[in-house]
Parts: sequence; structure tokens; C-alpha cells
Amino acid sequence: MNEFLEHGLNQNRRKFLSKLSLGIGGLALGSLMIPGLFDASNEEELFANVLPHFAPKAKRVIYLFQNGAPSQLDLYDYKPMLQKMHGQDLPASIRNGQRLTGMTANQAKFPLVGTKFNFAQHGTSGAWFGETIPHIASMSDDLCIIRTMYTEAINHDPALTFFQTGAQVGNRPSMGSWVSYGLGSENKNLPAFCVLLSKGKGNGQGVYSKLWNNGFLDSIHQGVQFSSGEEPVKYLTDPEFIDRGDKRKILDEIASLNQEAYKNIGDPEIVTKIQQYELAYRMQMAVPEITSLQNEPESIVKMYGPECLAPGTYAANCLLARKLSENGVRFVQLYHQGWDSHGNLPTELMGQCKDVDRPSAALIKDLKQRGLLDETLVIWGGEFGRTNYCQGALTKDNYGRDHHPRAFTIWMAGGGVKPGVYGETDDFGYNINSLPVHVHDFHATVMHLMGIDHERFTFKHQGRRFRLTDVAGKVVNEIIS
Amino acid sequence: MMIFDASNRDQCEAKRASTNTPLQALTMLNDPAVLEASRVLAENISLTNKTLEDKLEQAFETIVIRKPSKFERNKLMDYCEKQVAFFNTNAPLLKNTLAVGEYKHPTKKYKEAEAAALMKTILILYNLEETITKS
Repeated sequence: MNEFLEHGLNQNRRKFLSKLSLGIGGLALGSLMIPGLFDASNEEELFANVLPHFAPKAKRVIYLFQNGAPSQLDLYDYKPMLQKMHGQDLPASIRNGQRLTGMTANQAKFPLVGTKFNFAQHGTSGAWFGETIPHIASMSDDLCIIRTMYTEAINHDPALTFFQTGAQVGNRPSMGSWVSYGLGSENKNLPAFCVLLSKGKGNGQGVYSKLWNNGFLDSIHQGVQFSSGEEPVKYLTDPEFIDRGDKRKILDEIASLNQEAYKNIGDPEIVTKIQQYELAYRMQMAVPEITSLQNEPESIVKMYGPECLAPGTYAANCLLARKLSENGVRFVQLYHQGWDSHGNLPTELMGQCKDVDRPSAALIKDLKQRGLLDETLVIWGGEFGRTNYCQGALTKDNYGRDHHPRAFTIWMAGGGVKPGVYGETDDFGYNINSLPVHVHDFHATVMHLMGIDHERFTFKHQGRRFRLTDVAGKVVNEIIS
Repeated sequence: MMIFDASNRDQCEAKRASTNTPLQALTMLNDPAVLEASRVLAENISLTNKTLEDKLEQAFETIVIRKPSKFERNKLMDYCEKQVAFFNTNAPLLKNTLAVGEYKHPTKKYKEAEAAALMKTILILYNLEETITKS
């Protein structure tokens, strides 16, 4: 840990504990009566008070992770050459001996697949979009489309972990945890880092809590996963025989006994536990209001699609993400599973697009109409792309695509990014022609938009200063407005 | 149990993650199963012929697996005594409190106000870091 940070942390921890002994009950009661009393702006930051390093463009992030890797060649990166050469073998000069996954490496042939879907240009940038995502396409003028993302991992787990934590192995803090640690929460009644999961009908890949883990950071920075059922947060309601004052007393007792244990043992996890109990208490007031869809007007439901009323769907999660973000949650991480189309890509892709197209676009529109898009960075993308050649049998209407880490598309919107298309892949959509963006560069850029210099934002752990971007990463200045 | 890092069984988990979230706090405080467990343990202990202080100690030892320190004993005793007094003057709430869960009540007579007070004290004990976290 940075010595200054450590000093700040300890100081604040001590202050926090002394506050406790003076009766946090009174403070908490105050926060119930005056919402926002504990907003970070009014309270000393609990953590890294050297941040932000400079004026941020984005205050909050909503990351719409398309888990399983959507096919850039059927959605964003239009390649007429593939249609022209449909069925012919991938030229060796293009593949250039690069490694493939074990799933297709032994194929006798690598027949190129031109997309089955029609493409059209949209918006002033003339960006190409496949016909399965008309709503996203209609937002073209707000999107910063990066066609030249590349990653080092070729399989889901390491690639996903790399995108989320900056390392392929686990146990590093997730992006959201870093942001929570660096900037804290804007709303002390909600976790700074929330996680929402949904599943599509396509071939799915697992997600797991290590993706939103705090790693070596304090565990109050870990992502809080909301449930996909009727109640996003379970057990929010007090039992009928315990009223708020009563609950307050119980919490005070627990806190004072835990505090005593901390004095004797010194395990910082105990302090975290005390803080999490306080947060839970405040969430009981804040969450029902936020997760309730009753106050949403018809127009909003229409915009996100009727699915947004069914808990646990991508549409419902997009709407919930907007509400959480609007209420000051620093980092909302969505995952939508089902993009891993090794076979039956056309059918699966249509299903996945049906799930995500309208809500993804609605989220941008919704943020925009609330004047929040400028300060909210929306990110849409998977962990890698898909191959230009077919996995399995190529038939008249069906094909599959394997994992392709060497070039794929993601997009961002709002939060200080410049709309337009960035980077260019070759005619086969296989290699990058110009302006490559590595995962580390992506992280550096997102941090930059949040007002954080990724090279100075470190945490000392086991004798080494760690960064989200490890020892690499360049801010892609060209996409910043 | 997924709130407490149990595997979602999507794939093998070589090592269970160890998280510390507000969702866990909500579960331990409000889940009817935890409340019912507090009630049943409180009732069982109430059946003994001990002083309130000894009953409290029994609860503490059962849950935390050690004797309470002086600080802990005083703190909990103070809370519990106040709760007894409170329940003695508030019959409807007493009834409500002991009504939680489906597990049957003891057939033998016991001091109900004391059991309800003990139940809430046990809820506190269930929520201690030391009770929840094995490390």
C-alpha cells in the first residue's frame, strides 16, 4: 500500500471506531432522516483521499459484460471478403501459424464464414451493424466502437478474469473493486460495486464470484451480487417483532462486541464486518425504493421492453443498473451469459440479441434523457471475439465460430468517450491493421476517464506495488472527448 | 448458501471464496431460519433451573465455544436484563416474538419473557464475527 494511503486508512479506521463508541446509532438515525447525509461529498472519504488524480469525465461505470464472447463478425465488424470467400480455407498467410483452441486446432479445414446477416451503416460515423441489433445501431452516434480490441487469453475463464482483474489468474481485485477502493461510494446507503447476473438461451459459460472479488484490497470493496429472483436483495425486511430502534440496539451490541474482538485480535476483517452490518442496515431503507419498479412510467417499460418487468432478465438488470447508478453506485457490473456460439451461431445469436439489443440501447437513451450519460460510462463487450472460420460443419444456414482473441469489437458510450469507430482489422477480420487496443490499454483508459492515473494507482501487497494494469497499459487518448 | 460463497455448481470450485458482504449481514439478522434457531435455543436453555446469567453463559458457550470475557458478560447481561423488563410489560410483542418459526414449543413451563430476551441476545451472538467466521 502507498504509505500515504496507509496512513490515511489507519487514521480513518481509528476515527471510524471512535465514532462507533460515541454511538453510531445517533449518526445512523440522522442518516435515515436526512438522506444523503453520508454522501461521500459530505463525509471524509474512508479511503484513498489522494484521488482522483485529475478531473474525472466519468463518475460511474455500467459494464454490460457479454459473457461467452459475441461474434464481432456478425454484429459490428463487417467483412464482405468473408462473404466473397465463403467456404474457402483460411489462408495460411492470414493465420500465420497462430495458435487455436483445442476445439478447432485439429480441424482438417478452416472454411471461412461470411455472416448470414445483413449489415447496414448507421449514424454519422457510418459504423456498420448487423441486422440483429437494430436498437443498438440506432444509438450509433453515441457509441465509441473499438474494433481492434485484443487479449492474450484464448479460453473463457482466463479471458474473463483478465478483463475483470487485469490478470489471467484469479485473486486480483476486480475493476469495480479498484474503483470502489479509489473513489469510494457516492451513496453510503448502497454498495459501491454491485453485480447483476442474467442468462441467455445460447451456449453459456459460468461466472463466479472471483470475478468481482476484492483480491488483496479490503473486503468492503468486493462486488455485492444481487439475486436474480423476485427480490434482488434477500431478507431486507426486519422481522415484525423487531422495529428499527430495536434493530439499531441489536446492531450496536453486535458492533461493540465485534469492536472488542478487533481490539484483542486486530483482524481488519472484523472492522469490515462492522461496516458491512452498518451498510446492511442502511440498505434496508434504500434498496426497496430503488428496486421497486412501481414508480417507473409506462414509457420506461416500453423503452426497455416488457421483459424488464421480469426479475433476473437482462432487461430488468439494465433498468436496475440505471437505478443503482443514478443513486450513486460507482460500478455496476452486469453479466449476460450465452454468447459462446461454437455451433448454431445464427440461431443462438438471434436469441442473444433479442435479449440484449433493446435494453442496451434503452439504457443509453434513459441515461441520456436524465442528463446522466455524460458522467456515466457504459461499456458493452465480451472477453474475446469469434473466428472468421467455421467450427464444425459449414452448411447452408448454419455455422459455428470458435474463440478469437486477436481482434474483436467492444463499444463504450457516455462518460467522456468520443463517439465514432476506432481501429481497423484486416479484410478477413482476423488480424489488426491499425490502432490495436490491448486489455491493459482498455483498463488504463477507463481509469483515466474516472480521473485515475493507472500508473500511480497502486496497492502494495506482499512487497510489491500492484496496479489494475500490472506493468503495462496505455491510455487511448484518441477515444477521449 | 450462495450468499455465503457456496458454489453455484456451474463448475468445480477448488477453493471456496471467503467474502464479507452486507447480504450476509441481512441473512444472519433477518432470515426466519436464524430467528427460529435463536428462539428454539433460547427456549431450551430457559427450561433449565439456572440464573439468567448462567443461562446467558450457556448460550455463549454453545455458540462461541468459549467462556465470555468480563466485558462480554456485562454487556450481554445488561442488554438481556433490559429486554426481560421490556417483555414483562409488553405481552403482545412477547407473543409475537416467540411465535417465530414452526418448531414446536417446549411442553414444560418456562419463563417466557426471559426466553424472548434470551432469544434476542442469542441473535446477537449468532451475528458475532467470531461465530460466523472460522479463521
